[in-house]
Amino acid sequence: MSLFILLLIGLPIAVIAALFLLFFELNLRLGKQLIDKGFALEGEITERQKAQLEAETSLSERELLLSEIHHRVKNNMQIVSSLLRMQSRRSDDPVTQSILDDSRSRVSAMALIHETLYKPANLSSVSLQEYINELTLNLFDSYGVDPERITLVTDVESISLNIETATPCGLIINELVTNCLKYAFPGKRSGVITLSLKRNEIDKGYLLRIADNGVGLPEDLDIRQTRSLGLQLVINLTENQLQGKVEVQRGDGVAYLVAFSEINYVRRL
Amino acid sequence: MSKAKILVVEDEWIIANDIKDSLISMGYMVSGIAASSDEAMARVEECQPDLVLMDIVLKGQKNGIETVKDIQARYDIPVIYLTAYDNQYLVDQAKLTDNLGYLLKPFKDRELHIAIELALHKRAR
Repeated sequence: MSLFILLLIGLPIAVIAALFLLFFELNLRLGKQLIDKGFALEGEITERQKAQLEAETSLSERELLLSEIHHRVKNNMQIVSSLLRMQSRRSDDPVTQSILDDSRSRVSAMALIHETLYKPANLSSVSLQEYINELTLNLFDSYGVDPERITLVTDVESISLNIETATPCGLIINELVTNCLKYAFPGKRSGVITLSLKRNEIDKGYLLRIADNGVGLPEDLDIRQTRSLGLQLVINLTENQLQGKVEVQRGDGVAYLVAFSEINYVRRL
Repeated sequence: MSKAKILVVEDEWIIANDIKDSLISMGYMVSGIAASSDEAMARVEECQPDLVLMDIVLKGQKNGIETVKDIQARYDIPVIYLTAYDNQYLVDQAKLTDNLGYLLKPFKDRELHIAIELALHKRAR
């Protein structure tokens, strides 16, 4: 009898106890699994953070390298420019001097592109405002032009171009402004050069206009037949390198209109 | 006043000679060209220039800023830095030395001339 009562009470207790144990065991396992998963997840997060950091580091290393390369290209061009200047100083012939000075100015215009490029956050495109500003200052300086006598008025929209477009564009501006400085205002004649660069909304291109109110081009000068390297560069770089168009307007002085678009290349770096 | 003597410290020979030509055409005397820190020290001892134009990247172990520290530990000679590097770290380092200018290459002759005149004037007072 007492055995029966013991069983009657004991059995459910045993069953409950077993259930409890089972529950605990399960809980324990689940908890362990949860902790394991947590650790795994944490590990994965660390891995990913590490990978991201590595990617960022390699990106900044790449930028640093690229910047260093632009720096070296600029330095080398600066050496070429120095060589041309040294040669020009050693010449007694004004024509030779002028040829060497023009060549030096072209090399400097290209060096300046690389100088604008190695500044941080600027590695693949050239800000034209900054470039034109610096380029024209250099030209006034190297041709010894008093900015009081010939004034430069610029109106340049905030435009950035890739190096493939900026380099010929820079050379075109270099040639046209140089032409104005050298020929438009002979003697003590004073005047104004205006330079504007704007987006052309119609064809998504750009319109460069460089004009002066000087003596104008000689009547018989055909800009497509001239032997002047400067004008040949302007026409050929615009039409053959940039697939653009050049127009010359004669009137009060001379105005050059250059329409072009950015050249597209597959990104190489 | 006699012509001011200027020492050019620059590791690129061509650039150094271009600067030398410019200085001569401005009416200064160039007391020498040095391409490394050691050479610069030797030239300073030899000819005690009135002014040193110092590049920051030099041949050898020491850069231009360290060289200026060495020179100024022994001589009272004004220095103008000429460099193609404009990173803030170098500018801050250069500020710690007694220098009278920091010109970024490529510089214009006129800028260099003004910087030299100012430096010599400040020193003369």
